[in-house]
Amino acid sequence: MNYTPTTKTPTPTVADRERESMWLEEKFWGHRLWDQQSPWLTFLEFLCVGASAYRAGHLFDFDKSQYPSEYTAFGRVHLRNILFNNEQHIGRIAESTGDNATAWAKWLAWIEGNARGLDAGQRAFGYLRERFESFHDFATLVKALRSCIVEGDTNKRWSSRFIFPFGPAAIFEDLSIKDEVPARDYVNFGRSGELLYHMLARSALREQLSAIFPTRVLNGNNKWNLLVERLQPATAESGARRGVATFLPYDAHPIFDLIAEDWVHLLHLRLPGFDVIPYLVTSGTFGLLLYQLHTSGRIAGGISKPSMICEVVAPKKGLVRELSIESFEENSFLSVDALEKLISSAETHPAWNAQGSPTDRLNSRRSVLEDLFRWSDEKQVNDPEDLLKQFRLEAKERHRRHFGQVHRSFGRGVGLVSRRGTNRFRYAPTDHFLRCLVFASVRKRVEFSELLAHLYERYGLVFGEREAEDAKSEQGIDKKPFQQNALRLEHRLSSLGLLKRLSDACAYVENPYADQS
Amino acid sequence: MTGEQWINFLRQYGPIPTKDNLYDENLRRRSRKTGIPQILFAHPYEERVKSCFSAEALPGSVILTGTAGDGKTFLCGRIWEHLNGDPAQWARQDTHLTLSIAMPGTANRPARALTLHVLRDLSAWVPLQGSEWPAEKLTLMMQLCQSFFDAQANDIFLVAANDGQLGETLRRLPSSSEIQKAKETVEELLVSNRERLDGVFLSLFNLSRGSSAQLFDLALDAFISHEGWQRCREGANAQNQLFGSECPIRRNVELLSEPLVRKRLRALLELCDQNDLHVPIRQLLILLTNAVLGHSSDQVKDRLMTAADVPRVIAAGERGLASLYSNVFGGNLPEGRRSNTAIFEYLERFQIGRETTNRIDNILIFGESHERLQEQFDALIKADSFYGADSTYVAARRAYIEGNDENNDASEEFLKLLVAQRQALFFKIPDREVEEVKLWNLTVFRFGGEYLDYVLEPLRSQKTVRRGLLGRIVKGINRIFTGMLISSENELYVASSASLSQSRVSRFLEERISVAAKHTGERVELLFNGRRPVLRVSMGSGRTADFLMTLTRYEYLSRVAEGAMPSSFSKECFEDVMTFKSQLMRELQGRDGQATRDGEVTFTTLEIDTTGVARERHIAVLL
Repeated sequence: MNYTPTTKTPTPTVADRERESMWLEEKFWGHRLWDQQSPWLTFLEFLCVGASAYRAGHLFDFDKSQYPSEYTAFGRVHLRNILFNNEQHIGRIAESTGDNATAWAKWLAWIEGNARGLDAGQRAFGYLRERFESFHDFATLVKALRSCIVEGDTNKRWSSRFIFPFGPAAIFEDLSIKDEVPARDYVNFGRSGELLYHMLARSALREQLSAIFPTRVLNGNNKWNLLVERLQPATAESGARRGVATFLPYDAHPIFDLIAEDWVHLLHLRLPGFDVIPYLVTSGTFGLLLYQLHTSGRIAGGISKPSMICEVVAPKKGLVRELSIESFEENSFLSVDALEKLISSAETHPAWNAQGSPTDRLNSRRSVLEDLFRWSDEKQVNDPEDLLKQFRLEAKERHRRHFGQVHRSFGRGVGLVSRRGTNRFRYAPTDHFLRCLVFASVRKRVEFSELLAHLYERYGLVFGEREAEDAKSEQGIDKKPFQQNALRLEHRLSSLGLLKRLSDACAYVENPYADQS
Repeated sequence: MTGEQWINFLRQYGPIPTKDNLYDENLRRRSRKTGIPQILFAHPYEERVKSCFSAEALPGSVILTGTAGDGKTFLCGRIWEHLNGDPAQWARQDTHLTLSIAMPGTANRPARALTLHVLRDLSAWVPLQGSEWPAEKLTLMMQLCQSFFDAQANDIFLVAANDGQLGETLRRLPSSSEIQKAKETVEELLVSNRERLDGVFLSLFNLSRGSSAQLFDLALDAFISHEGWQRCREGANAQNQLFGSECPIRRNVELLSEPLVRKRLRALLELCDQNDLHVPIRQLLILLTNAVLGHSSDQVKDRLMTAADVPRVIAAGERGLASLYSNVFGGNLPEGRRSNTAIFEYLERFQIGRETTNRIDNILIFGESHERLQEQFDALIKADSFYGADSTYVAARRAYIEGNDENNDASEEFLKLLVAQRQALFFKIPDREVEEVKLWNLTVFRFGGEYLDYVLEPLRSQKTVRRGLLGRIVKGINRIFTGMLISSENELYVASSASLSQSRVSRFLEERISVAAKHTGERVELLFNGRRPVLRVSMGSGRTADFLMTLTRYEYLSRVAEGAMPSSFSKECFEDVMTFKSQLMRELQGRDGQATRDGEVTFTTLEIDTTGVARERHIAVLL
């Protein structure tokens, strides 16, 4: 397994640490995987980086992905005011005002008085009037775009709402708009998407990706992107510099290649229009989950590929459900184990056990922790023996709040982890997730048991008896429940139109969108 | 052979527990021992397989695949005999036999001597799962794989295996490019339903791809004309004995010979074929045997009557429990055995007996004293002294109608009898009354009869399907494509939401495609691929997309068109239609390039008015 650490690493003075009190998970997993970022938000953030690199002509370029890498992100504040700031207004005016000129006048007066995040000079929307034949047309299309809000059901502030990424004109970053000045915020865009970008740019398939990705996702020449573009003023925004503090600690990693392979595969599917995007979204965050899990396993020691026992939801609880809960909990704990190991490594540092007075020793240890993890006790600890304890306490508390949640939160986001029918989390994939797996890993067709073997081999996902036997080889398992689990998977895939049974002994999983060539 | 012996012999064909892989051998042995001939008929594939070993044939190996009971081993035996193999050797049960065959020369080929390896049951021959391949078996497998790609191979093969074992065996071999190629070849043949590929010296016959309806004809003829029945007739000497006038077995055999019963049964099997449910020979024989011998009382061993059961059943007034009409659905069998027997599980899906209409239930419940329904009641139920309105039925019905029963036992009893009567009606209602009574409403596939008579039948005889039916299919598809109750059937509406093609409600029109042929090449039509109807959408410039029909898809689309949105009826159908939409959109996008005119982009929104007529609105954005 090729884990190549990156050579260009941030130095403490350069790193914009964003008020972080230590550089621990950041150093070994990256800055950063953000648990509160949903798969869609991760993808949209990724697109900000990707679109910028594409504009500059270095999409997925390895060298440009090295620390510190920068990109330019847009706010598109006019567009967002039209779409999201007081949504009902346009519709109301369109319905209540018969006369076109009056409707425009009414709405323009309103928006120019109420638009936010724009200074007085920018607050002009009159350009719209020349671009539509009537206010009614304008209102209809705005309504259509609003029906394409990404994660429309969550109740977010209007400056954190996003439309479907039809093309470059629809890609913009998360903002917080206070006092008329938009500012970058790290709550919704927490850099997971930036990391995803760098992973792909450092993958073995980066060249293939840079050839196909723009044709399927960043293509501006479709009518929806043109529409979104026409809602914005003619003068281009200059954009803001972002991404300097982003850090990915590996130049090569097996999961980077895995994500890239899945994406290349997905991008080649014969799906119409934008249909591939939801699968890229799921597959990307699933990749991040695997990255977190596999890296944790490796740091914790020896576990190169953790397995995930998946329950294909059964009507009542049984062995597979129990084992899937157990497997989920074990995996969730891997990052804690890894953390513990990293913290303890301080004790093996040559300066840790330096001789001298207690104060000397304390200072020497302080400098070890400062050096390794950029952590300082702020002179709160007096006894050198308590220093590591204090660090461990703070590190674990911080871990528990965010990084330790990544596994669960990404898992739920992609539809792999669920609590359906129980009060504990487990691996119980949704239809969308299953479909994504088939689309990403079945070239044309594959025999059902081969698919099970492949999902285990590639992702560590366990559905059937053979895989369960291998994953649980040390304790042995009861085969029957896993046979039934596989049978339920078969039925699910068949109801999704993805499985063709030839006879009672033979079934093939088919990818209906596979590239025929 | 006496009639009694024949019935005992016949019971072996019924739904009794047997060891699958010994089935054919057991029957042969029994037949030899008792001197009673098996129920035999020419296997539909026999001539084709034989011809593979004739002088004119393309060289190569032969694989016979199919489900348990398709007659793979049986066919191997026939070929062995045909090539003058030693019958004694065949009887020894070896799983691997060899035979030297001389291939006479032809104009392009010199005469050759070949070694034919016969693996009559691959699963019995391969090493157990988890154990190693013995060297000699491995070598033989390599030879098999090589023979696919070598026109001059001196060792050729005849292998019988079900498709699962075949794939599994090839996957278990150590990987090499030749084995990989062999594996892909077999897979391609299996999935694409072909028998040969260019440049490959292998013929693969998937016996499960044959028509169940055709097999049924063969099996039924062989069954009915078996000399055993003649012995029964000759031996009948008393009313209440085997084949006496009161004997239910005799009645069931007679019923099975009636053209109407045969026709309806055949229709069900034809519809199984149309739903990709293949019924192998063994299952057909189970069906026929159970239909004739079945009885639902515990007193009858294995629920299959013997000659000795006949007088007792008659005396106990339990003749109604031997009704062919219920036996056909395995109604005589305990739930577990019924659902474990493929044929009954397949027929169960029609839900015959549980589906009904007011009209039919009125005939059954009130028909006797009803002015208009009486005639039908008399003809369909009263006239049937065996399985019609016997005294049990009359009493239960009275209790049910009068409702003076405190606990519900009596009405439950009657409802059970009602199920049996509905099942019987499915086989009794004459053709001339089918439309009036809505016979197919007795099944879950209300459009099943129409599908057979007005879709399959014309397509088979190279005629066109009625426009109205095609229109209804188009209307059903339109409703699923748009998620709106659109009523258009002259054009196919391909719509999407702004972002995704797969949204439930799609308000943006991508394209309308005319059903009637246009000069641009656009048209929508129902074609036939030799087995199934195919809905073909032509978009002009040579672009087409096909949607393969099954009975379920036809039923689903028809129901959607008639106003129901049965999203629960079949999620699978919904997904299939959506996948078809994706294909169409892909093709359309390939055809159009970008939908921009100079200086503007246009959007077409779709709305429907109260009558279901689609209204389009074009909106332009100026560039």
